[in-house]
Amino acid sequence: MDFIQVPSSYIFYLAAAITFVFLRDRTLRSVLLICVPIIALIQVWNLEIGNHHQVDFFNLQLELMRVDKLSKVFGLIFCLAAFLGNLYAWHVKDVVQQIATLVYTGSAIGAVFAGDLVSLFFYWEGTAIASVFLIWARRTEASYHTGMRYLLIQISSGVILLAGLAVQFHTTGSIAFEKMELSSLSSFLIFISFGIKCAFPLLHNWLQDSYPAATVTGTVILSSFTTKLAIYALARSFAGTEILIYIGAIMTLFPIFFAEIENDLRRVLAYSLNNQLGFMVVGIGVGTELALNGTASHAFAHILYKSLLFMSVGAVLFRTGTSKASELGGLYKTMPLSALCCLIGAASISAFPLFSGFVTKSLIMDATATEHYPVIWCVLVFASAGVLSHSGIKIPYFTFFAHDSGLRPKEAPINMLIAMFITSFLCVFLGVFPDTLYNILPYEVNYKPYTISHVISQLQLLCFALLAFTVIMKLGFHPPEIRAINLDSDWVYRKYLPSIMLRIINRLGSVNESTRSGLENKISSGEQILLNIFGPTANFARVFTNGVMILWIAVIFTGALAIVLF
Amino acid sequence: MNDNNKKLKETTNPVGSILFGWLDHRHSTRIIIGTLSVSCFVLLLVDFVYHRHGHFMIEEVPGFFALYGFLMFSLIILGATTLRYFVKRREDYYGTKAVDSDMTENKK
Repeated sequence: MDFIQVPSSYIFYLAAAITFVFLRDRTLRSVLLICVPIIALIQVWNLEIGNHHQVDFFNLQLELMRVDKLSKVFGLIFCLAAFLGNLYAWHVKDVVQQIATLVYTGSAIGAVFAGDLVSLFFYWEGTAIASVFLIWARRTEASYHTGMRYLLIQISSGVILLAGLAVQFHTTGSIAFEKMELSSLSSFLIFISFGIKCAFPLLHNWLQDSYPAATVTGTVILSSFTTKLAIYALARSFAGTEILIYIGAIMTLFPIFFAEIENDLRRVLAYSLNNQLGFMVVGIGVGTELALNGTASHAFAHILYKSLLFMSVGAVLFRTGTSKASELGGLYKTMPLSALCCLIGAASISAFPLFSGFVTKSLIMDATATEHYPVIWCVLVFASAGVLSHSGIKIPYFTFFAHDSGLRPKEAPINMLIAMFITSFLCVFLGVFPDTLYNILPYEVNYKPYTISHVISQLQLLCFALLAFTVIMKLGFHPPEIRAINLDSDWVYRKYLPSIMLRIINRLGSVNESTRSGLENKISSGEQILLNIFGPTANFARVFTNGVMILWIAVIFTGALAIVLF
Repeated sequence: MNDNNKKLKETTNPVGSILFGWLDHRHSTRIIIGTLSVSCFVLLLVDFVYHRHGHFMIEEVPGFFALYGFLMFSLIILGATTLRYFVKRREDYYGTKAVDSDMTENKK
């Protein structure tokens, strides 16, 4: 079989099996983890458009390599992200994390190339099961519980997908993973399943709960795949579904406020990720070629700059043992290169001209304007200012600058620095040469990001937002970084529902108790009655004399005779 | 310069001095704020010189993006501060079932 036709996921699974069985040497494992994404990247780059690999499965034909321009662009960025993440994690000795990373990455890439819902389901659950080990690898009680919550929600998403698939197969006889209308039960179930993984509002909290709980390197890996896989799945199936525009707009809005007051910087980034997903979901909802190009390119750029931000905060966590803004500050003195990379990531996510976010986000913004969604456009501009506030300013400022925390950690390890440099380079490269990215997008791009109007308006927005930050800091109105947490919708299933359950259990317990004691009382009084009648001191236990017995027999005999004779 | 400051100075990374050493200058904050203010002023002036094109009428109003950026950022801070009033809880609110109060050094 031609190498090019082998499903890319198999390469990762094979590497995971080799790592598990043969590789006892840490360096060899790290080398393998870096080589595998490069091999997969070369393979995906050279893939031709078409369906390459079919498998028969219980009378169903599964398409494992459906290659088109949409799946290819996601496949490429997934391979690139896996390479950068594994380079960043070069120092990791934990074989569990390494195998989990390979299986997780392989499943995500497999899902991107899945041409039917059955294989999508297997890969979908594969990402869920493999990725939870990156959370459990922290090996604390808290990470165990967080991992269980994460797994429960991810598996639920898969089960709902399976239900949707079953209904679709039952009604249409098809398992095709294609564009669908949100009008049938099956499409609704599939939509919800994708929505859970995409962190739709109120279904989002698994993201902010679990990503800060993973290991330093695990979070970098996690941030790249799960949610972007959901974006891909939505773009594939529900492009042009109008409700997505409004869902996406809400997604860009609410995380801004939570991110602003969050103390754990990795959770700030998780909220920020949620906000960025909102932009992509809006693009899918608009559904035009420009908008879908915007979504695909924004996902591409986003994976890079979000990884970069997670890497720089992860490096700080690795060196200082904390990622809490209240404990950090002034680290530019001893971690200047990490600070520089963090600033590049911050500029990219904030969409400063010459950085990657600028050339990708503007496609989506332009699509909403072209399709006449003025309110949505205003929301997205507002959200752009919000991105600057929490990711552009808060992350670098409170980690590396602001007040001096007195911490003087060493610079990040060399492997982390190299990974951050390459990612930073890509963020700037895409910003300066957007056509490189535009050329691999699903549709032809006729868009010029660098017009005077666009550059000036974006610079005005960002610079005046920065000015507002300066004024607010000077006046002392900025919410201080304090050691606290903030309740979000996960409070419902983490506190409220358990407390209700506890109350129900307590109530049932007391009902059980009172019923039992009532029954016991009844039984013991019944026993007493029986004892009174048949007990050792009762009349029935009395010893009868022979005379009395004969007398009673005579009475019974006389009675019987009387009945017979008369 | 007391001993503590001396020690801090010594531990500064040489690359750090090159990249960000200027931040230790006495007037660095003033320089940053000054540069930002001048940039903002120039950017605002451009709007009165160059006629910007956009999809919506409002985009062509001079100073729209500047005002929108400034006001919206302030609104975000105001909104976030208000939100904190309602949702802030102690770090150990979720006890041992969340990583927030988990102080284990996460170096794996």
